[in-house]
Amino acid sequence: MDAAPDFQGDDIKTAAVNQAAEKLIQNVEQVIVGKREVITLVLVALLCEGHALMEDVPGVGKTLLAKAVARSLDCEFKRIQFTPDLLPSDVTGLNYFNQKTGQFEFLPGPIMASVVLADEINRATPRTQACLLEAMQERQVTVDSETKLLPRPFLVLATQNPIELEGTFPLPEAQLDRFLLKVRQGYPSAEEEEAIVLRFEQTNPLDELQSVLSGPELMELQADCRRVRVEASVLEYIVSLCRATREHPAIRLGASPRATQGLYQAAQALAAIRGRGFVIPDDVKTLAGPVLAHRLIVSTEARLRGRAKEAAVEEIVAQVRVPVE
Amino acid sequence: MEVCWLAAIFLTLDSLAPADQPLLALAAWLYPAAYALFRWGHGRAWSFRWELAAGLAGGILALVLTVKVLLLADLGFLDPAWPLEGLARASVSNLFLKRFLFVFIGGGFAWARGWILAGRRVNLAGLLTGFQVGLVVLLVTMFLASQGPVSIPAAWALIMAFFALGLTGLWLARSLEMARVEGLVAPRPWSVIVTATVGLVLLLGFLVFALVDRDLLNLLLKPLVWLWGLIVRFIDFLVSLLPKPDPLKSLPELGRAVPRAAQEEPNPLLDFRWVRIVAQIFFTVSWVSLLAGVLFRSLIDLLRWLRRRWDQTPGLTLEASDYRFRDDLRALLGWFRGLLARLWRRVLNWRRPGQAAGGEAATVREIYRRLLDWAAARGLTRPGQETPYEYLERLSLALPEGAEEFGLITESYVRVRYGLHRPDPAAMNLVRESWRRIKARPRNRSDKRARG
Repeated sequence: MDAAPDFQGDDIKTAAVNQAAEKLIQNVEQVIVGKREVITLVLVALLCEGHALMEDVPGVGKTLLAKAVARSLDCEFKRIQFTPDLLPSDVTGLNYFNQKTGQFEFLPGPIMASVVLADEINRATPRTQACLLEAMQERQVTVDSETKLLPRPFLVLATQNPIELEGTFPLPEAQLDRFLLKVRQGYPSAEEEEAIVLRFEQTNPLDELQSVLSGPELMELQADCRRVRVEASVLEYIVSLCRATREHPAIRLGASPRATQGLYQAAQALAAIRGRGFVIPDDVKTLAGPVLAHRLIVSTEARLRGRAKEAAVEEIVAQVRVPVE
Repeated sequence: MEVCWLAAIFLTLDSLAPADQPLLALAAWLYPAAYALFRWGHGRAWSFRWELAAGLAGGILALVLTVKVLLLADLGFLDPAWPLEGLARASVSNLFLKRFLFVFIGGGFAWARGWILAGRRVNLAGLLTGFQVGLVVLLVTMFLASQGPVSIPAAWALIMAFFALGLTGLWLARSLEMARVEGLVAPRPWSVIVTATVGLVLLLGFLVFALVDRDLLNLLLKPLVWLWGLIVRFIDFLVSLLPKPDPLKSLPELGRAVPRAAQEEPNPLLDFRWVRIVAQIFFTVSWVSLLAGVLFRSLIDLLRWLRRRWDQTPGLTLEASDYRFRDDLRALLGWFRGLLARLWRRVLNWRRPGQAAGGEAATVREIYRRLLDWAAARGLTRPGQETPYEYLERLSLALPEGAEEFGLITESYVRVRYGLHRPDPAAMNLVRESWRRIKARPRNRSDKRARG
């Protein structure tokens, strides 16, 4: 058969996004073994200017992944280890009185970085967690009635452990809704686990990781992703999926319009990463679970029956018709 | 093999005709004619519309020609008034009308049979089914011919030919299929196959000749005799419903006298009361069965609901049932809806011009729509929640020989549909060529078994 046919279109050329994404993924894969899909999802969040929540059992590499992504970007990186005694001012910063100058000066907190790793975010008190709300949504913080803009790009990578519930404070729905997607790394396979052991045998590859993408480049890529075409029927499909979560009998609180917007932008980013200038329903289906599941609240009956949010989203995806002839 | 039992039927019918009439069995030529026309059209990769038109037009033309040659041979071929003459004869003579219907219906069946079989790839399963059906039809025809004043010339030759061709075909198909499944194992030598087949046929023929007689056949085929009587009565009933215009006294412009209708003796089997009784029994049993099924399943649903509501119902024993009437009804309605949607799409396709509005992009979408219909006809319907790429994976798994073409059409469709791309002429030609290759695939029984 002859080569694939050539088509003419005026959609955005996503070669730059595709190449940059591949470069970044390969860079992170020097540290993280065999989790290409998870790295891609984090990259989607990065390109959408969204935030990612990584939830998994201890020791699978959540923090390592976040660090590897941060190191791959030539941006300022700060880590916040959330503990129960962490105060909001420890995150956002505070005004202190400088005795030398005799004036109040602002000491920026770790949130004032491009890439922020919020480790074990569910260990902080709700009061401290709430200080991230404004930062994540509006990319600004307010300290003593003074609003300070956060740098661009701005990305929060949060981790949490779903196993140990003692001494933890589950994230409120408002907080969860501000995360674009939630990813689970899962355990590696036997071969991957062997590779991990061997890779970290002599040195820590994270220490040798170089950056492959600068902040301005990242912002250009983000702008390119926003120009990826979404055909009207695909948009309707996205909206239908989100609306279906509000009508599902097992779901008490469905996806918000913010989720719809998030799914839309994430699909654009994923299409660009895959080298396409337009979104297809497969992109939406791939992202439906990571983008929508963590925002839902299942009904009491469903929770007692052990129905997971992810299962409910899968059920919805399996019911909503895809726009095809 | 098929020609054998078709010829048997036509020879039987021919025996009913007057001696001076041409052989009605000659109508069997429509079978190979339809087959040849279909294969010729397939070689030119006709679309479904052209195939249907050619089949209908060719069939009607061939049937008219057959009727003219067999029943109106006394009239000049170039005589333009022979259709009127034929109508006139049919209106005054029941016998002529019956022979006309026999030729038309039998010839039409032969044409349709040849047309349908030409589109199928012969394999073991198809050959076996054809053998079974053909054998039954042949035996029934032979028996009925032996019961009445009918003589089929060289009947035993027909039977032997049927068995010889059928068994040879089965053996060859089985050998080829085994060779294909086992890969490197070569099929048995052809001489061994032919020799063994001939020997088997001769042995079987000897046994049939020695053991089977009329009394044995009567015993085995008694139920079929009763059923045949019903069919004859039903055909006569249909014939009696046809309008009979007033017989024409004369046709001055033709200069011929219209033959008078022969007095026909009443057929003792023409008792419509039996037909009505059987139909009533059939429909009553059907509706009662349907209602019983509905009530049974609804009762099962109700009992299961009761069981959930109360932990224990004393004195009641429930049997687990996997059937849910609601799901069955939903599936049935879904099937009807899908059928109506496909029919409606066909109607819309007929109304659309050859070059669809919207240019090449709309053509790509049209081709993809046809691909969906084509695959659905082979049991690979796309569920509503399946994306084109997911469907492509399933389709390629089920029909791997067309994977390349499916992939190209799907890729083009995705770009046009979601990317709003416009294919250039070269790309469009590739898409059309892929569709032609897919359509040129003959329908195979294995396609129907390739369900996702």
